[in-house]
Order: sequence, then structure tokens, then C-alpha cells
Amino acid sequence: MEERELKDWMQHSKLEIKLPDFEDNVMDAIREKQASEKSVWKNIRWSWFFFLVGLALGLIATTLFASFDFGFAGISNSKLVLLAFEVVVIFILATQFDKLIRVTFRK
Amino acid sequence: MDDLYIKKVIDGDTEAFRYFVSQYKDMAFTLSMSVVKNEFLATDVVQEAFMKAFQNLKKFKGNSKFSTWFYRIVVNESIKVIRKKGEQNVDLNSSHNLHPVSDTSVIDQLKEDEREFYINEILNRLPATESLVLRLFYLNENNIAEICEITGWSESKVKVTLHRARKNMEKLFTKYLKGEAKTLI
Repeated sequence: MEERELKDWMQHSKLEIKLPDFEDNVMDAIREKQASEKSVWKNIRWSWFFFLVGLALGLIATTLFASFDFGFAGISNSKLVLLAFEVVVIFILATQFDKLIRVTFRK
Repeated sequence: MDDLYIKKVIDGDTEAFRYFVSQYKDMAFTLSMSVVKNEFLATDVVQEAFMKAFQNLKKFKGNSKFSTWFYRIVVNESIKVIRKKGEQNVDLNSSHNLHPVSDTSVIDQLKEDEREFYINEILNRLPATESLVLRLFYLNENNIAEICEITGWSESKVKVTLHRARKNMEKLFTKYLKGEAKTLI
């Protein structure tokens, strides 16, 4: 089989996509993807907003609790209660912060 | 021309991407068919490849032709698909109980659409790597360096595969076409 001959035959090997609306399908899929990405970014922005609001409120609440004299389970003005509250706040913030960072940088 | 449309798409003109779809869809489909050997899967692969190309267009540095970069995506997507379903290669020894012939004159007697049918049928029976490399080299007229870039293979692997593909093509051609075409002519 000669090289030229093979090349001639191979010119007949091009195939065509038989779907007449293939181009439209691809463009629609791209637009859908773009729209969903936009909405994901919108959600991420809102998540950051509420995270920062939560952070601010947590700091305010921690500061306020420190200035009040209150008791819990028979223990008065306990630093333990305050410490527990702070731990909960920090734990929530840290885990949410981690999730937000991941989702933001994945996008 | 490609550069102009790439710039348009990057600048936010999504509709400009239609140029690439209309320009490259058939060759992408042809290459994908070489690998996946199934029309429906190949169509899905091409659509997915266009989506990926669109999403990653900003990463395209222009060091190679757009087509080379895009066909690499098509080949990678196709390979991903056949890995999922398990590759099927043709067994050259078991196909058709025909006597080998040395002349190739039979193809000259075939009509255009018959030629197309038989050539594609033969390519469909070749292993994915071989039909892919044959189409890239002879149909898309890529050189060895470009084929290396598209497939991710070494130069020696491309050359060896091309050599083997030519031989197997001839072998299948003489076995398959001679017998099938004889009944048709």
C-alpha cells in the first residue's frame, strides 16, 4: 500500500455529527453552565457576608457575657461558662471558615 | 482567525465560541470516534470537550495551535470514556475468513459513499490508538510533534503506532474489503 494511496483513502474517513442542532445544544449547555456558575458565586458572596456578620456578633456576645454576672448549674459568674461559649463560637467559626475557603478556592 | 475569536470569548462574548463549535465539531467527532467507536458516546465526548475548552480558554497560552490544544482535550475525554467502559480492540486474526490479496484495485471500483463506508468500517475495527494516529496523520495532516502533543505520547511511540497502524490497515483492508466488496460489485 503506497503512502499517497493511503492518504487518498484517509480523506474519506472524516465523519460528521448527525445532530443538526448540535451547535445550539453546546451553546445552550455553555450558557446554562455560566448561569449556574454566576449563581454559585452569588451564594458564595452571601455566605462570606453572613460569616462576617456571625463573626462580629460572636465577638460582641463574648465581650458582653464577660461583663455580666450570671450563673449556670449552680456555678455563679463562672469563667467556665464563658470559656465554653467562646470555645463553641470559635469552633463554629473555624469550621465554617474552612468550608468557605475550600468552596471559594475550588471555584 | 482562531486568535480573534479566542480574544472575543475571553472578553465576554460567549456567542463567539460558536465559531469554534462549527469549525471543529466534525474533526473532533471523527477523532473521538476513532477512540470510543460509538456515535452517541463520541457526540457526548465532543460536547464535553467543548465545555471544557470554553471553561479553560483563559489558560490557553497560544504556544500551539488552538486545534492541537482542543484535540488534546477531545482525546483525553475519549480515553476517560473508554476507561470507564473498557477498551475494545479488534482481533486481526479472527476477523473474516478471507484470502489476503496483494492488489488494491478493488477500492477504485467503489463509489464515493461506499469508499467512505468501508474506510470508516476498517478504521472502526482497528485499535483506538491506531485509528486515532492514522486520522491525525493522514486526515488532519498533523506532524509527529503535533500528534505527540495531542496524544501525550513520546515521539517513538507515535512512530511505532503509526507504522503498526499502516500495516494493520493494509491487513484489514485486504481481508475485509476484498471479500465484502466482491459481493457488492
